[in-house]
Amino acid sequence: MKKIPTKKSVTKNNNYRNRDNILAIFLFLFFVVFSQVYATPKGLATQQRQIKGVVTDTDNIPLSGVNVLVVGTTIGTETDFDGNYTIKAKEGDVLQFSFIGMKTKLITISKNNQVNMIMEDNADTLNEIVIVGYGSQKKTNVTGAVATVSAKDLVSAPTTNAVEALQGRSSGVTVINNGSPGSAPTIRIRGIGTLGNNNPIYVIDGIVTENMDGLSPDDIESISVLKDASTAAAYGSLGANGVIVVKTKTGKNGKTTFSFNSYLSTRFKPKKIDLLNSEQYVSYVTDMIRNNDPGADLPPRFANTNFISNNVDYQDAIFQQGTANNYELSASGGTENANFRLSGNYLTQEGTMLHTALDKYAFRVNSNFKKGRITFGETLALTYAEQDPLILAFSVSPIENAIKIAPYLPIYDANNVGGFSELSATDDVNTTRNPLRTLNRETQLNKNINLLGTVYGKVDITKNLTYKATLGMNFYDNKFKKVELPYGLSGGDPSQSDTRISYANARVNTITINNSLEYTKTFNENHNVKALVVAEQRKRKTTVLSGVGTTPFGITDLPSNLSGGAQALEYNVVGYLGRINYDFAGKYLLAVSLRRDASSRFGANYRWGNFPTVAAGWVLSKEDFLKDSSSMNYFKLRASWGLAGNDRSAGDYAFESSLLPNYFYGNNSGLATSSLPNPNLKWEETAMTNIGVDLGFLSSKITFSAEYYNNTSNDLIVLLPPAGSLGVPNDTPFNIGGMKTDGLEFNLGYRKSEGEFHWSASFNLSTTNNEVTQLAPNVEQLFNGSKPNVLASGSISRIAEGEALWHFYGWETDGIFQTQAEIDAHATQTGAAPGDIRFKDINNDGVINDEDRTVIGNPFPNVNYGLSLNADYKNFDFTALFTGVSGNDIFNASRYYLDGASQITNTSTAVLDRWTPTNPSTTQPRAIINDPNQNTRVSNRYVEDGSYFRLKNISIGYNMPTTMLSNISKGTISKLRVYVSAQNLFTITNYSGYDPEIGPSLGIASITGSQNSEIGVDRGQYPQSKSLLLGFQIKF
Amino acid sequence: MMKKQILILIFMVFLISSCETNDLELSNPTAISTTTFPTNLEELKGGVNATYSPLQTQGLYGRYLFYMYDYMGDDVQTERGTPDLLAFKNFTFRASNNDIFLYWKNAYIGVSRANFILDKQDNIAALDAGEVSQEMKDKFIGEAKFLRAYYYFLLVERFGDIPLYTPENLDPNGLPRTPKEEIYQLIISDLTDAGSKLLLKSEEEPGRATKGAAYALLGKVHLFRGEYQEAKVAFNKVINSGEYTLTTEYFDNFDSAHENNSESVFEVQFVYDNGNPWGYAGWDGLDNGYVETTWRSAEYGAVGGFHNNDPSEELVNEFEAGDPRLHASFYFAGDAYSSGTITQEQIGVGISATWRKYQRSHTVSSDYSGLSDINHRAIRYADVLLMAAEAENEVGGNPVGLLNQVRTRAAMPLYGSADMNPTYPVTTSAEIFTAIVHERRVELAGEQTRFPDLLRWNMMSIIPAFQAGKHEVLPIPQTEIDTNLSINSSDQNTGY
Repeated sequence: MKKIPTKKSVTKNNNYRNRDNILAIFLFLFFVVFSQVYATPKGLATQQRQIKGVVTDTDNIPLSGVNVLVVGTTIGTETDFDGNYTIKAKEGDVLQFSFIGMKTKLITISKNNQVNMIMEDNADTLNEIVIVGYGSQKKTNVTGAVATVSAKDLVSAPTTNAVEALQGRSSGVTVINNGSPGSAPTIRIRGIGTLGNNNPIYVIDGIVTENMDGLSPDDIESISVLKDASTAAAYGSLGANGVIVVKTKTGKNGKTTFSFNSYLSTRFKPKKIDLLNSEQYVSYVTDMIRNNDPGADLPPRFANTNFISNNVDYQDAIFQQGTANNYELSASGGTENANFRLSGNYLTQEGTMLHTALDKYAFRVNSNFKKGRITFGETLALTYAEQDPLILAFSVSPIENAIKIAPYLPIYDANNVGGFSELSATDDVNTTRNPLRTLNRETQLNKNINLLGTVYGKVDITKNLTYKATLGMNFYDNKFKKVELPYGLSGGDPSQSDTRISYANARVNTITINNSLEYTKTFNENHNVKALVVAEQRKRKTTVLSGVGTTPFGITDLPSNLSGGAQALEYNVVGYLGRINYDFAGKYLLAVSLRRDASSRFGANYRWGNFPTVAAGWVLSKEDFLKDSSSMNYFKLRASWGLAGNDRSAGDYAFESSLLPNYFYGNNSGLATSSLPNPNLKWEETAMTNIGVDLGFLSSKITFSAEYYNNTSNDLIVLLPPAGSLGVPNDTPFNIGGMKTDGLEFNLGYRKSEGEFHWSASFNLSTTNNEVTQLAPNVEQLFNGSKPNVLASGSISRIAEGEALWHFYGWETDGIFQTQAEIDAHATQTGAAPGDIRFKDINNDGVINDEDRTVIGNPFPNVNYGLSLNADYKNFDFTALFTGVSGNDIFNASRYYLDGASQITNTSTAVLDRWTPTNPSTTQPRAIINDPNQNTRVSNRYVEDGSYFRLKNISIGYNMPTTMLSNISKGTISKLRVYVSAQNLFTITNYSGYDPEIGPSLGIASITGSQNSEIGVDRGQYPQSKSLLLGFQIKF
Repeated sequence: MMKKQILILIFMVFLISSCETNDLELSNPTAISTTTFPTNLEELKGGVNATYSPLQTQGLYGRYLFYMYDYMGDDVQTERGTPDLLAFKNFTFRASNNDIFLYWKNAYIGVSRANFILDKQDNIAALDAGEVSQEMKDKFIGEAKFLRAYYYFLLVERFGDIPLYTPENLDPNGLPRTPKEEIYQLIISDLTDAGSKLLLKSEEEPGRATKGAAYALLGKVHLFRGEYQEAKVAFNKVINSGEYTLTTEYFDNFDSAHENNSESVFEVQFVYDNGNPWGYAGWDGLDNGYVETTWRSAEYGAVGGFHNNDPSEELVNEFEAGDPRLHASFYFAGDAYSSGTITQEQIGVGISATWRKYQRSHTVSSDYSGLSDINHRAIRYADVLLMAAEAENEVGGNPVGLLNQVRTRAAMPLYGSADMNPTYPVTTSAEIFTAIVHERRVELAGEQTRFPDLLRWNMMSIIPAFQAGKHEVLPIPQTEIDTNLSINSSDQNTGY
């Protein structure tokens, strides 16, 4: 009888039990730590002797840098340049040989002192070591979702930014490139999970950073992308958007090696859009004006059409053949107790658009020193970059101006200030600015200094217990200077008589201190335990100075009358991590971790967040019933769940209210608050579930993995305007949003060797869907750049519950009215005349208005995929990478002027087929200024299928045979490879714009303060183009 | 060996747990704490200064307030201006009108800043008396009370029932509308209290609220409410203070050379900030209070301005022959301005005059360039005298002397004198009222008084577009309804 209440009380106390469990984990951890101290080895074995040998590959070429380890001890070494090693071991010990890209080999020491080893290419990547957060793991033991990219992939297809190299390489990692030199591509891991900051974080040699722009791809040894909670939540508060872990190259034990890599590349002009010539322009503009008012005046310029034979190709004029030259020199080497690698890199790039360029200088020194149980090392990277970015003139891209400008306008006019022609607002009416003038006379230079340094010390307290401390510093200094020189018609419109200068300097300094203890031990042969505790703190300080000034005196550098402002921000984070990985004979895997973080961005009551994870795996192929399968050699099931956080959508100090000295009255300074505090502001939180299966067949000739993930984000930060009557100007952040993202990921690999011909293919595909599950209680919809619920009819992107984030929202078209009778039969559509677009009466109320708008597109692809092919035959190697997306929509806002037919600008030749009484077009409406029917309203007229399939990269290389090399160079040159590669050689797409990869929005302000708010809207972003590259790699 | 390892381990554990959690207690290093405010005189003064700065914003004396009064009276003719502005002239404004929202929001920013000061009275009281005397403490609280009353009066006069925020009643979700009578009671008690605490004009820095300003506004509030006896008492405190006299030159009230003069009772200060007339970092947004210039000159101006407000022909005709205030208030074709002679082309076809009051073209070549730094005389002594005359008339006294002070300065024949225009006899109370209506229209042309005057005199029917029962108040801004959880569309003013 009494049993039932007892049970109840147990369930009731579950919450407390969970806490006890967490406590138990920590107690266990400390128990093992202490037990280890007492269980010190009793003394060194006596029968040790020197074992020597040579390690070669299957072609009998010595391999240097192979790790040789006595299994179960910390005794290890590396082979030297000639493949030799010496190690102390005793009979019966097992030696492990491992080398990246090769199969790990084990051999038991017999009586023989000479143990040679032939390493084989790693047909099966299962034994690869994978870098994860705060450590590394054998790939077979991974229970979470990790994608890896090796140095080989990074170098086979040279890129100027390492992020670019991640494109198409792995499922769940989406990269959107743009053509602007020095502008990092957008990267998203498993889609999008917040209304705020969706960028993943980067961990470079253990230090958290916001980007890896300063890294030279040649310096990278490996990149791991942590996609699920069990891996990413090790970074707790920063893990919700995924984590990109980068390890830079270090020196290898052996002779000093120099390597010099260089390439030269040419980027071709992007495609052109067919525009009207001067004659067509005049007749089109005339028609457009007269359709509105048959007696209306034409632009005075048209009175004398002797300019009609002028035809200037502005598209051709704003683009040029771009170039990129890269030089990379490195030296590396080391002994048993010390190694080093240092490198220098110079990249100079000219974009395909005039006055866009990048010059980047990067230096790096990595070194490690070892004495007994102590290892000490550092990484130090310094990058300086000068970028000449794409700039907008009055928020308009030069591409847009190149299309809209009247084709008869000559580029230059010596009579004007600055020497460029301008369209006169009165004579030409077309008010487009001359893009050649803006590109030449409005210039901007961004100068970045990025310093990233770490020092670490590591002590092997016992053979099982390691302590490591890391100190990192990341200093970033960005100077921005924009100069707008005078231009234009003297005393006329448009013109600018003063030089305008704007300047900003942002400095960000981040100090990271990290302490960790790691305990590794195998109990009773099969119980493998790895336990880790980490304490970490990060302090960041940002200062910003900015100013503007104008001068009539032709000063083009900072004038002394600059007036400006300043800002100082601090942001500190403290975190603790405890993690235990356990496996039983590599068969049953379990990983549990808890991260506890505190962020200065939240008030005392909400400052701390707990981010637990749990993951389990089962390697079925190690079970007896599958062990002997001839075809299937690997079969693993894995699942993980956990919570990750995000404090990056919150600004600094948003939880409190303070008085800013920004107010004046009669030149007296004033103090006031500008926003309402939200003392309850807290972490954005994402619950992540991941289920995966990994398969290997025919000794892993064929590998396959599939994953399902489901991320649910809550407490997302949305900025909402307070009630106007509360009397605070700025919006307040609230944790009220929710989002759901889920998808499937597949990776399929195949590799085959036939004699000297080896080839491999790997294909990945991922699907992703996102949905906003919750917005503010009284907010039905948010339009880009607008207040909640305000039906901003000019806005394209919208957020609403139950729909994808930032979907396109507008009217649906339904053909073209051919007759007045058709208009009369339709719902009331103000301003409609024959030749105008018929819009659908979505709500069937007999009138076309704001209420008839609906979802007209989704900017996110359902499917992303990549296919990479690698092959080598004798001394030739070949690699190709195809990437593609499918199912996304692009809102081609460029078509407002390309075929909008409502403004006096040049347009595409599509308007030649416009509706006229004699040409009853069903696709292109009539041309009419002022657009009485609002033919150019936000509608599905501009929504295009954004799917594409692209040959991202193709390369062919030739390695000079070793024998020939050593004959020619008398043994000094060990490797010489020349290669040729092409990027974006072909693209299959139905998209009509320049490039279906639409880069981030061009600085359009957004309500959430992020750049996400206009995704997939083409407003003349910098397109990518085809490029051809010739390079060589030499080692000596 | 073992001991050493334990020591090492303890050391490591110590290192690990040594993260400093007090680094997490961060406050904005470039800002002042709201909790301890004010810690000294400068902070206190800064907080009060910022309570004035909403007066300079676009919703108020920076730009749109002018239209929201002047366009709704019968002193203006125009077909220019943005649709949102023309809506005031045509009485077609709706809740979505953004100018109405800016007026509302900026006035409420003033209310919230005043409430912030009034919420800190304990901290103010605790300031060292050696640094801030009791008199100064009272004075700053008096300024906050005056300004809260000023902003609430701007709001209640135009919207009727409005949310009433006080330090004791602040809800971050927004408050519902409170009956306007309660708002008026708070205004009256704030002004009464401010009147006892504020300094005399002669003791105070220019531009700040004074005893005289508080009593002038108190009198105006009573007058608008028909409480003539109370109005008269308040106005008399201003008049009898001996602090104010009319300037000799009428035009001295509308230029930048004679700011904060003897006639000025409350004046919104405008200055060119640090030599940059466009204000901090060029175009400034709506509410920050960086910019200390006004669009008044550019908006109304015909000389390089937007020319959005031309005086109506009735207004021009209202002036008696020979009234020097006509050419002080307006330019006519042939009048000299800073850069030559005004032409009919500049004034516009079919229009007889353009504004001279508050225009920059009086001193520089354009009304627009660099916006305007001319202080706005929100309450001037001539207005006080005319209001006092009205109150005196209503309580059965003889106000002709008060009226004639204004006439004397204008160098015009006095009411009741032999050479006075016979149109304006002053023998009966009704005649005096007509004279007051006339004198106010002429003396205060383009000074945002005509519309509220017509409204309280029940004379709005002379404007055909005006709908009684609707247009006495503006609609509650749609954005307020969208963002205030305690107000929904059914709470909207009648007819909107």
